Parts: sequence; structure tokens; C-alpha cells
Amino acid sequence: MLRIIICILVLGALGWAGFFNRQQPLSWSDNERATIASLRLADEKTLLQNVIHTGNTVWDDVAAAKLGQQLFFDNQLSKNQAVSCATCHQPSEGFADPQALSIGISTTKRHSPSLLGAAFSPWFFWDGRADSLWAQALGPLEDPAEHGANRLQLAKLIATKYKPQYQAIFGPISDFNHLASHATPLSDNPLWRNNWQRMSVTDQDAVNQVFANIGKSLAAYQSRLIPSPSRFDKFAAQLLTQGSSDILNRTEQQGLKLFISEEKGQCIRCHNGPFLTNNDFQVTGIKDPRLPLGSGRLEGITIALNSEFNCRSPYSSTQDKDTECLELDYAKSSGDELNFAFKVPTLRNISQTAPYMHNGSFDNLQQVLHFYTRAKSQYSDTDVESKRDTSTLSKQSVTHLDIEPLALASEQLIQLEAFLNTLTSPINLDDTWLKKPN
Amino acid sequence: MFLSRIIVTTFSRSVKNSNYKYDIKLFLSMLSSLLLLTSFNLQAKELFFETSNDQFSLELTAPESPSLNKIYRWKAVLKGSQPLSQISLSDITISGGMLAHGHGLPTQPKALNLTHNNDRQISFDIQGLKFQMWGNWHLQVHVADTQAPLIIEFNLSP
Ligand code: HEC
Ligand code: HEC
Repeated sequence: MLRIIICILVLGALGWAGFFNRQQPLSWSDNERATIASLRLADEKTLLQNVIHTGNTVWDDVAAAKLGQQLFFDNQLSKNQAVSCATCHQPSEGFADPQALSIGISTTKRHSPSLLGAAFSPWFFWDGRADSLWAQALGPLEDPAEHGANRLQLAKLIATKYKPQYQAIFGPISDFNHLASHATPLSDNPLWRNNWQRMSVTDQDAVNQVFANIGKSLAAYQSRLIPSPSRFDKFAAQLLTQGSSDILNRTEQQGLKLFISEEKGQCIRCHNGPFLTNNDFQVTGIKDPRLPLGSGRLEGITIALNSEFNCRSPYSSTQDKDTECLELDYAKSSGDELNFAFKVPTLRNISQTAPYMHNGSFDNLQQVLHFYTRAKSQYSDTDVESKRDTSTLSKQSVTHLDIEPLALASEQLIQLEAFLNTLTSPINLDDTWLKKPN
Repeated sequence: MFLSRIIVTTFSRSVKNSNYKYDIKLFLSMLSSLLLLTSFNLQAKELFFETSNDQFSLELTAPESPSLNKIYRWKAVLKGSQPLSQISLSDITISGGMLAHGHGLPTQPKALNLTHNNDRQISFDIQGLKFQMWGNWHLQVHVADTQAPLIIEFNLSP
């Protein structure tokens, strides 16, 4: 009998404790509050001051953004007149696309990332092979699997279809009528390459200049793709001004606590700042079965350093390269840490942009979170062996991993997912900006 | 930091020597707290580190307290127990990272603008520093073919 009474008392006490625990608002330490503050989206004016617009003097010009919007949705900027940027960066899909691997002229090698807040990064592509938003845009235009176009074809299109808008922003444009129809130095099409080689240096330069300006207009458009405050931002604002907030429910707040914990969730290590990314390159060990080994930042930085449109190039409108090209000049370009390192993606509007990772290999957030609890490199020892035979990469190169297996219970994964879902909000723009203009 | 100390000392002296009327004193003391406040901010922004080994001592100054994901230039002054006149930029290498996370710096910083202040003292800039995570960092400056690097440690928190 006594035992039963004790049992009831103990259970009762536990129940009370649980009840109290549930009712108490979560408490936040000073450090946690400061971390939450660092994740908040600032007001629009402050945000715009942080846009990284390397080599692009028209980045905040409305006319350039309008031209950029037209180009973004224009299928004529492609080989088959059927692909535009919006094919793979769809406004209704958080400016990403629902395919694991994006499809343009043919299937690409990677998953299309969201463009939200892209303008706040110094590096672009999953492997960081472009060092500005405008130089990035030139990649897909000439990639045979994406737009499959060539720069001369595009310069001619601008000189006809977009002449007045272009000239109002960038000044006079040649008609390029004395040149062939198609030419580029970067193509597996021998005719296009040949045409390029036969052009004078002056003509090549004039075409490159128009090509670069296409990129700069597209960048001006994309620089406006900034989300409005999400439920998380509203919660943070209230927590920081009033001391507590119930804009996020308890589960979501517990998820936030895990997310910013250096020991427990560790997400904040890489997913920091207002776009929840450090825009750096880290090795999570996600393998790309369709790609040869050796990809990642190691390859990307080599391409960026040699790019004809990088910050050091004449097409980058800079006044002083020594102070404006710091990211390129001081980039780390060797070492194990870059091998298989991919760009940390933004987590803004993450609920809208499945599937996930550079190869689109996870269909939903549960799968991503489950991966983080295991955190084991997907590159196995056999890969190391075969790689050692065929490439110059050393054995250690796959052993560097930037994440650790997390000891998280399934309840905590639910909390983390609930928090990630609070980061979604509409883009802070009039609807007319988010579709093909008339 | 030095500057702020000068402001504080000169100002307290002028208050002590003054024989103004009370309201002027009040005004002055208000002004002084204002100045103290500014100097405090100055102190909070600038960071100063010192370290040494048997051969060298190193002073590093960060003009503003670092935040994440931005590139910084820090100033360095190196003093030697032996003459440093032979040291050139190519003798100085910079590395660092986060021991707890097991990774290095996200960038490759370099030494720039070396000046020989005198026989045993040089100053230079460390350009290209970047920190991409909160937490404990260390920075190493390695001079010529000496064995031990000069190491400073600091914590970055939001
Ligand atoms: C066929 C699909 C496709 C088309 C068309 C396409 N993209 Fe992409 N985009 C991708 C993929 C896939 C990636 C990632 C590629 C990689 O990292 O190798 C990407 C990456 C990007 C990035 C880098 C984002 C970041 O955070 O690093 C930007 C910006 C971008 N695209 C803008 C554009 C623009 C502007 C256009 C039109 C000129 C365009 N894309 C056309 C699929 C496409
Ligand atoms: C060491 C750095 C690092 C840490 C720590 C980290 N991530 Fe990531 N995260 C990345 C990188 C890099 C990628 C892209 C990897 C790839 O595509 O190969 C990524 C991808 C993601 C994605 C997919 C985004 C997309 O658009 O495809 C989600 C979601 C995500 N991380 C959430 C989290 C959460 C939640 C945590 C904490 C439990 C976390 N991450 C911890 C670096 C990190």
C-alpha cells in the first residue's frame, strides 16, 4: 500500500514538474540573445548597405534591374529559345526548382540553389567558381546543359531587342552586323570557337563588354530578391525588445535553441548571419555519385582565379583592384579543407526549396537532419583507393570533415525542423517584379 | 586606446585646476562623461594583442573588433632580441584556425607593407583575415626559419 502511495506521489510530482516545465517560457542567456540578434534580417536600408556588388556599378540602378528582370525571364537567351533563368530559378519555388538536378537544354550536374539573398555572398555556385553575382550569370548562359547560348548571339540580341534600355544604362552599343551569328571561346562547338578566333581583339572585347553587362543587369535584378521578415525575425524583434515572445511556439523555440547551440546542434557554426550562411565552403561529406571525385571548392577556386570575368579582369568595374578584390586575392586555394567543400546554402525560405544539397539528394528536411546526426563522410575508402590511382588528390583529402555526428533525439530533430520552417516569408517586392514583365 | 587614455587624463586635470562656478562644473562633468563614453567606444572597437617567444615579441592591433565573414587588415609590430634588418615580407607567414573545430582560416592572409622602424623592430600589415564562425580562434605568425610561431588566441562571440 505504502509503495502505491509513494508511486502516486512520485508520479504526481513528476507530472507537476512536467507541467511547470511546459508552462515556463524558455529562458535565453545573453549570449543566446546576441546570437539571435545576429541572425535577424535588418531593415531594408541597412540590408542594402551589405550587398556585395563587386565590380558592378549598376547593381542598385532601377533601370538595370528592370532590364535584368526582362533578361531573367526571356527564353530567347538560349540555344533552343526555350530556356531562361526562370526555368531553373522559379519564383514560385523560392527561386530554385523542384528537380534534384536542374534541366535546361539537358540535365545539369547540380541542384539549383535558391537566389534569395544571393547578393550578400562574395562567392557563387556550389563550388564558388564565380567571384561576383554578375560573373556568375555568364556561366549558365554559355553552359551547353543550361541556356546553351553563346556570347555573340546574346550581344546581337541585346543590340536589337533591348537596344534602347541597354543604351540608356551602358551607353552606345555596336550592331555587330559584320560578324558571324554565333561565337564564343568557351564551347565544344568547333564552329563557334572558330568564329571567335577569327574575330579581331577589338570585336572580341566589344562582345565581352556587352556580355558582362548582361550579367550586371541580371545581378541588379537579383540584388532585389530579399525576403521580408519571417516569423523568426518577428519573434527575435519581440524577444530582444520585450524580453520574451510567444510568436514562435515552444517547439520552434527549442529548435532555435538547438540550432544556435555550439555543442548540441552546431548549425550556427556554418549557418550564421541574417541569411543563415557564412557563404564559406565546408565539407559535409555529401557525395556526388554522378560526378567524378575531386569536385568542390578546390576546383572552384582554381576556375575563379583564372576566370576572364573575375574581379581582376578589365570587365569588372573597379576603381582600385587592390582594395576591391580582397576576396579573390586572399582566397585559400589549396589544402585538404577545400576538397569536396561546398558552399553553405542560405536557410531562408528553406521549406520552399526541396530537394536539398548540391546534388539534390535529400527529398525533405527530415532526411537532411537525419544526415547531420550520422555525419559520416559518404566517400568510402574504396573511393580513396580508386582516386589515388586516377588523380593527384592525396589520401588525406577525403578525411577532412567539417561536421560531427550529433547526439540528437528524434524529438530534437522535430524541434529543429519546426524552427527551420519559421524562416519562410514572402519576397519583399511588388508582384510585378516576380514574373515575366510585359 | 592610447588616444583615449590621453583624453581622459588631460580632461580630469583641467577639471581639477578649474575654479569655475558650479553650473559650469556640472556642464563640464557632463561633457566629461560624454568624452568617457566615446573613449570607451573607441576602446571597445579596437583590439590589441601581445605575445612573445625567446626571440621575438609581437603586437597585433585590430582596428575594429572583428565580426564574421568580412575581410580585415590588422597591424603588426615585431620586436626581436636579435637585429631584424634581414627580415623581408617573404619571411613572414600567417596561419591559424579553430582548434576545437579542427580547421584552419577560411582565407590565406598575407603580410604587406613592411617597414623597418629600427634595427630591432619592424611593422607590417596582415591583410586578408577572415573568420567564418563564432568561437575560439588562434592566429600564428611565423617568422623566417625560426622554430616556434608567435601565437595569439581570442574568442569571437556575437
Ligand atoms: C538549367 C537550369 C539553370 C538555368 C537555366 C540557370 N541556372 Fe542558375 N543555377 C543552376 C544550378 C544547377 C546552379 C548550381 C550550379 C553549380 O553550383 O555548379 C545554379 C546556380 C546559380 C547561382 C548561384 C547561387 C549561389 O548562391 O551560389 C545563381 C546566382 C544563379 N544560378 C543565377 C542564374 C541566372 C541569373 C540564370 C540566367 C542567366 C541562371 N541561373 C540560369 C541552374 C540553372
Ligand atoms: C560545418 C558546416 C555546417 C554545419 C555545422 C551545418 N551545416 Fe547545413 N550545410 C552545410 C553545407 C556545406 C551544406 C551544403 C552541402 C552540400 O550540398 O553538399 C549544408 C546544407 C544544409 C541544408 C540544405 C540546404 C539546401 O538548400 O540544400 C540544410 C537544410 C541544412 N544544411 C541545415 C543544417 C542544420 C539544421 C544544421 C545543424 C544541425 C546544419 N545544417 C549544420 C554546412 C553546415
